[in-house]
Amino acid sequence: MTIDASTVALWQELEAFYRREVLLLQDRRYRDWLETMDPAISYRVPVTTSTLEGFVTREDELGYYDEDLMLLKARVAKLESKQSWVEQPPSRLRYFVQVVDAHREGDVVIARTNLLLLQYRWNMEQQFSGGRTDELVCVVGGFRLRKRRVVLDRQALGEQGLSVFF
Amino acid sequence: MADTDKPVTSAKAHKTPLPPLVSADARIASFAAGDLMAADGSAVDRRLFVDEGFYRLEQERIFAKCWLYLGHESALPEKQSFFTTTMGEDPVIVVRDKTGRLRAFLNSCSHRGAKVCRVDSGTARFFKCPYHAWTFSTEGELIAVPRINDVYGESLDRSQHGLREVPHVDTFGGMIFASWDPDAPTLRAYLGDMAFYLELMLSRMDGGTEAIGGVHRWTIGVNWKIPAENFAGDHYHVPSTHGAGIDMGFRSQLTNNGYCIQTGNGHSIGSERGGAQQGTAVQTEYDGFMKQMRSELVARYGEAAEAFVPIGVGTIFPNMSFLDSARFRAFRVWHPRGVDKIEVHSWCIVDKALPPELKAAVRRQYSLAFGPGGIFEQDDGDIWQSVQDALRGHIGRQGKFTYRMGLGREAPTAERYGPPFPGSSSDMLMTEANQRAFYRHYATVMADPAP
Repeated sequence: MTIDASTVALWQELEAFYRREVLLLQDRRYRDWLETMDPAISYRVPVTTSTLEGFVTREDELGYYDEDLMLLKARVAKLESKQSWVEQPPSRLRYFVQVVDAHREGDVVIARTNLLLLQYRWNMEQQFSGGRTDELVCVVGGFRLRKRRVVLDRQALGEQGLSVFF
Repeated sequence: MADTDKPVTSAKAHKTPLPPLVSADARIASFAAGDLMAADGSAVDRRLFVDEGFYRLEQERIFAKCWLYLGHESALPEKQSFFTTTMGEDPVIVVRDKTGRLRAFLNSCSHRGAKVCRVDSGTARFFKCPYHAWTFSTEGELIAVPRINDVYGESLDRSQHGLREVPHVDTFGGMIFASWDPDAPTLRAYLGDMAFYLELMLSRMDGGTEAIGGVHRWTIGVNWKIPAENFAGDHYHVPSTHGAGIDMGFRSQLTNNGYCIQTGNGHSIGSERGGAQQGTAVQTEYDGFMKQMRSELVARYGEAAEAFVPIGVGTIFPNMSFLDSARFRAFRVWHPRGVDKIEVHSWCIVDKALPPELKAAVRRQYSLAFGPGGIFEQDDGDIWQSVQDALRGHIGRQGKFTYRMGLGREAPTAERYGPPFPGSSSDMLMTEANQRAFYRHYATVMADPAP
């Protein structure tokens, strides 16, 4: 990748977008997080299958998350309920996001990020790591997330009650 | 004597097909069964969920004996397709052999025990152990031993060292089950009258069902019986545990209108009228499809049959559960991983003939509700773990759990729904009749054989 002024500007814009997203996610301001998304959002965290040819993920198979905007809103509405026991008391979350690759394709930016998430819940603690590939639409003053695909490094979730977003 | 220990007998009990009462004098490990359970299953000792000794005995008498669910036939589409799973804690390879026959083998080299297959699924002509490279066919035969003549001379008879094979593998409606017990009854006999209800769930459309690809796997820090009995018939937990799912409209408030049916051998189903997960939020076309299936069932069996599409949530003893709801259908297995831990394997099951876009929509609904991050699953898992945490201590393991709800209200299902519907059922949804049936059967299989 050549380091020119437009590349530097792109990475700065991306880092600003992801810094804000980290704050929204770890403060669990999920309504505001949904506002960062394009209405046509596809948000997918596919399950990974170990095969003789290596690890495989497929679009027509199960996902840990397999969402459009309506389904994401349904999840957020559930977490907002006073009876959402999995988050009573709420987890403490710490997100670490690192941009590892980015390029423009017309009016969208394709960005790859590494994610490390530490979660401390009342009855357990766990960590997630994975790679995210985002498709971001350029809008005035920043980006809208139109597509996210997250591949987690672990194959079986280590603890019950997946209640965090990636 | 506290009244919680008194069995209640129903006037109808003589003709209602309930599992045998717990025999007070039968021995379970070093205990009299009567000290561990009420005769009618309405009280169950907390130690059964936390004591290592009972867990070891369960491995022998339940997981090495009962028919266990392995997976769906659609996961083995061609000859030499395989997947790996476990039966209890024993790792197995399930394979369609060169002739197309389903077989299962202990995933452990006959030489020195290493796993001969270390991936989830695929197609293979052989399984080669990484430890010393002993190699086995998809029929389980030992087909290659490196330097066999140099190192063993004539002393190694390969035919005596195949993979250990599970003696019984059979299918019902696409569901693959297996049993380690050489003397096991047939699968059909083991399922008994549950087969009738499974058929209602699995043959709604011509062509049967298939599992959507991929397996959801996650662990919960809980004894395997807690979720198994929950799916067997705990509808009472829905308004509290799943209050959030009601608040946001994925399901309506639970009423007491519905059935809990047990069909013997510890198998049960239950459903509220119209099925679980009826709600106004995030709807799909599945609703219309289920209405169509309902009218077809009514045409076949009469008005009362309307209640059986979908058939509901249930458990096939010991650790296979299913959820046939108004929005999707899921299968899952609660694999024991020690007395206080399970690994859940969960699948979304669809009718093969559904249009692809509806399959995708149903897959998303399943994930949203009962995948590992499902808005219902989240709260079940969290609460179940808290149950286990509260049982660990010296005091926490004392006393008994209570299953007295709806005592004495069971009657033959046919009296309420007509002759084709087998088993016994209660006149309301919120009853612990199915849990009582589960533990009565549990006591039967755990007890020492009568001398």
